[in-house]
Amino acid sequence: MLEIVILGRGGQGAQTAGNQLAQAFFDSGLYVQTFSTYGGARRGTPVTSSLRVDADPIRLRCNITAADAMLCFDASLMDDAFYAQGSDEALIVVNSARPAEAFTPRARQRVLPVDGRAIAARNDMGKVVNSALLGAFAATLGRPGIDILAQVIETSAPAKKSQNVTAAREAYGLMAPVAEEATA
Amino acid sequence: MNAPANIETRQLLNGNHAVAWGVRLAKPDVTPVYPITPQTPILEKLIEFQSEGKFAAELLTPESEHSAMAACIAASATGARVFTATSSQGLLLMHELLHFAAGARAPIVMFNVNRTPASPWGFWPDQIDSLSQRDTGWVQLYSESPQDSLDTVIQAFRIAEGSMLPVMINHDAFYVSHSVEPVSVPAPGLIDEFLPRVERPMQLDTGAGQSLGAPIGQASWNRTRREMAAAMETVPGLTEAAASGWRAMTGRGGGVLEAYRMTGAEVVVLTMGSMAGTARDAVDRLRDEGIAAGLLKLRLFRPFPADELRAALAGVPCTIVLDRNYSPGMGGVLHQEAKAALYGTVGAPRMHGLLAGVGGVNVDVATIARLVRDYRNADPSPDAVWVE
Amino acid sequence: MNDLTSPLWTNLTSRERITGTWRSALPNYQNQPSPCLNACPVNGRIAEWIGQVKKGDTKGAFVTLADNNPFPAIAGRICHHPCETACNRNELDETVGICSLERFVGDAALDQGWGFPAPPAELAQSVAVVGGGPAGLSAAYQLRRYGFRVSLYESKSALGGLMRWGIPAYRLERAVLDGEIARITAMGVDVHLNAEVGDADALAALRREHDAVYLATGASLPKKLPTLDYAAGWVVDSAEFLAAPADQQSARTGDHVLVIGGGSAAMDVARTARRLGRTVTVLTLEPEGSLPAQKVEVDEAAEEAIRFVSGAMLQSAEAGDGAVTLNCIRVAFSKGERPGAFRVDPVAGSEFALSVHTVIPAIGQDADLQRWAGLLEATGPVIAAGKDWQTSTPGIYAGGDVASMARFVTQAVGMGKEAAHAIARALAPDIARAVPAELPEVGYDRINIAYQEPHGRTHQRLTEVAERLTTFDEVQQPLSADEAKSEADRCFSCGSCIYCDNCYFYCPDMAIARLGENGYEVDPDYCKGCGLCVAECPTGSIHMAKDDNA
Repeated sequence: MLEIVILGRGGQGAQTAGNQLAQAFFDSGLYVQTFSTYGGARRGTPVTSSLRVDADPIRLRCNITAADAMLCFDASLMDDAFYAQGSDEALIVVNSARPAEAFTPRARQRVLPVDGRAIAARNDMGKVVNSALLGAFAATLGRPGIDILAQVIETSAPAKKSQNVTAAREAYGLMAPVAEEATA
Repeated sequence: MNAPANIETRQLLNGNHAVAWGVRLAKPDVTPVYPITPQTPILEKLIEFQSEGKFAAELLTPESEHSAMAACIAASATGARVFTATSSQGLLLMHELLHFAAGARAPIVMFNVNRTPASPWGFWPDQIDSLSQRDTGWVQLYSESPQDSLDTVIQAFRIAEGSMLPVMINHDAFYVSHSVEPVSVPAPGLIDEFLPRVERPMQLDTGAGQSLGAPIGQASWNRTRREMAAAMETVPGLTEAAASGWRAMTGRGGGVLEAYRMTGAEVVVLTMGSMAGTARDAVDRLRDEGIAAGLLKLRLFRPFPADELRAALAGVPCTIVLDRNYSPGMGGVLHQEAKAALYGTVGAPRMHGLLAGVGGVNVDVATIARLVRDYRNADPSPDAVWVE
Repeated sequence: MNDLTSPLWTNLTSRERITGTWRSALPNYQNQPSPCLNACPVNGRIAEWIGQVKKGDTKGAFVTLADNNPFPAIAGRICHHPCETACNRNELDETVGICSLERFVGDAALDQGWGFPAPPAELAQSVAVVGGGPAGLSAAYQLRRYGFRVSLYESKSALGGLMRWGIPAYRLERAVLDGEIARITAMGVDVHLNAEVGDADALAALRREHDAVYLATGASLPKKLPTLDYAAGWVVDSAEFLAAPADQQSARTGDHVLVIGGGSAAMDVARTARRLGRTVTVLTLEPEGSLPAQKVEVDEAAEEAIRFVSGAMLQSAEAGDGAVTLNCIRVAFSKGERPGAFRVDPVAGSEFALSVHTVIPAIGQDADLQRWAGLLEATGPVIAAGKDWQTSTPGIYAGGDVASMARFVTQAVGMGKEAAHAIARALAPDIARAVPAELPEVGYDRINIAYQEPHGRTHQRLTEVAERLTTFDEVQQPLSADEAKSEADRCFSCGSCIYCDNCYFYCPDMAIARLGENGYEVDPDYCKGCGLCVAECPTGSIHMAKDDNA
């Protein structure tokens, strides 16, 4: 089972990203389960989206406490509690222009920064980074495939469908070699 | 999945949207609903269906849950099929009319999303909101997953209309209500066949000159409760019949009680709602460790299936009850009810009542496995125990 | 549950519970007078006819209106509308525009040519009406409705009295006046024009020829200022001025006209002179804001650039070379106890002078009582008349300015109506309308305003000032049909049942039955006297009456 945690601030699209990622895995023929924190999900407050992916039906109904991979929309949220949610080997993709060395994960966790803001800006997406981050995250995990992900984004993006898809593909292309090296 | 492909479609749905799909398929005539977190997505989805022309019910949005239930009772008394949904504070505001609905023998189906009642304010999964309504005369069912919720809300109309008792189905906030998963949605024609319109023996009719629930004497009032008792007796059978019909159609679902790896079980986890899902993985892990663990999921809570529970636990040496609820001064409600059901039964198992997950705190596989290891050989305490 | 004998379902109804025995009071449905009705000079059933306008039944509204007033189009233009001052709606937002609605109905009647029905039967008795002004015409109309033969004597060449000779066309279009008068004469009134009943002998002769006489000769003698030489060419009598055709009005006035007086006639003179292109100043004893004329007339006059010198008095006049110098002084004005009575105290040292070309005093008219000396007794400036408007000579009744100091047109219409009913009670008591019972007035506290949304009044539009001064066309423009409906909807219908069914639905004992157009009936077996129906009645047309018979 693959367990993923996506962390962002309310309004950044972390919940949408979790749903899109779940849909892409589901479309790949896998079982998925995703849930997000709510109630306090107002603009600016931290929002967590959790995602489980498995070849078998998922029966668990509890929090993810040792995520295999994490995607963070906002580097200011990366405190000790954040790193504690990941497993010792967790792969962490963060929306940041800073180098990997600027982050302090624990155990054997690895942080892969991606400049989502820059990719979004290049694709006429302003500050809306979720498609770029999803592309980078999929490249890091090695799944789901970028074509399936692009299809989901195309279907579910509420506006600027082609720009969203291009941003995801650009981020995927940028991150794929980096991830290959990091996880080799 | 095990859904026959030609009669069901699979979609990614959260638990609340799965409920709305079930309601859409059950085709109620009237749905008075007042919004409340975390139930609101049910109402929103029904409104969306209606705006698409896919849901023809009279959708009322009155000024409170109390009024919503009042509308449910009146509509149901005229013979209409009625659905409503609520959660926590909303359910508690309905309390007076929950008694009224059951007393009036209104076969209303209501979906409740289990949420911590204030104070303090919270939005977390906890079943005390519905369990504290156990004496109102409503049938109560607890769902484990979005799929279970869709399946159960449809079956609930069969149970309600068969017994002329109102039925409340509950699922946990967050872990079920807001969890997005693959859900098999049956084709509409299938449900029309499963849920035929039932002729009411009596219904409000302006031409009939009959009163419903007029003031009556003590003995007559007493008789109405005996009639309700007789109706309650039919519910386990109706629940099993609905479940087996559903299984025949979809291949899914349990009845009154669901047994998981009970063969040869020496320690049995007894729980209900979403925690049963996590407990399945915990049982697997314990079995892998060589501990003969099993799971009993209670699906029907009211009427309490005492006979079925006695039969299922016959010969089991130890039972651990996990309660995601707390009745102050008594402990876990399921523990309390199970103890009462087994009292005086020869060879009843030792029973531990563990307050696990009250207020929605996380209970994962490791926690359940540890609790089973810790308590399976311990001396039982009659009182509930708070656990981490 | 499948057992149909379950006690959950019964044949029981609340009819078995005779809750009426608890009662100490019983609701009583009774339409009671609204404040507007009591304030109305003709006691028109305003709530009722506005209710008909609400429903789009303009013809019905006309019939209701005409029961008390044959001049809705005239009154809707010139009435001083004390009804609006009394309106309960003023407590919520603004009074209902009753007068503009009355005009709407009156204009519709003229447009559609709705006439008055013939009397149910012609009667043998005849009544002479002396004076074809508002009081006389109103009396003639009501008497014809009964079927009396009516002979109407008018000294002038046309009917209308003050409405024709005193009120300018920019306030009352002549076609409207002619139309409403013609509708009355068409009922079969024997009209004698240019027929002056000049003295007591002539009046006594009329009395002998008829079963009753109604005298309404108005007030024809101008009051005079002692400080003014009425023989001077620069002094013009206001009544003559208003009655004259425009070319004569122009010929008699210089460039700057001073009008003396603060009443309605003074405003009419001043505004007429403005329309002739004159500069106009109005001199009044009363201070600003307290003029006896209607506020709307004063406001419109001010809009038309008429200058007011208020709170001042003329002391002397000196004719100079082409112009007249008027020596004036400021005064302290205080009202007396009786209507019309006042006292002025000159303020020493406040003298000032005005220079004008023409002076038109318009300080009121008195009735000529000398004519009837020996036949009719007088009380002060008017003929003495009792409660039923009968004078000291049996069979001779009087009303209008000759018998009252109430000077508004609609007050005269009301007096004519009352006298006609009094005459009918004397001549044909079987068919005469009874004096209405005194019922309590429905105040604002009896209106359930939970059923009313605040909604501002729709005012009539006024013609632009520049346009007004070039013609004698009407200044006030009528409401459209939609505006009239909207304005009618603002009426609370105080004291008049609107058949809303609130009482029927709110009664917790289902003790109220609907009788269609006959309203509602309370079943005393079940009414426990809780008063919910009264509380929920939006119009105050139900009240609780003590009831000891339960």
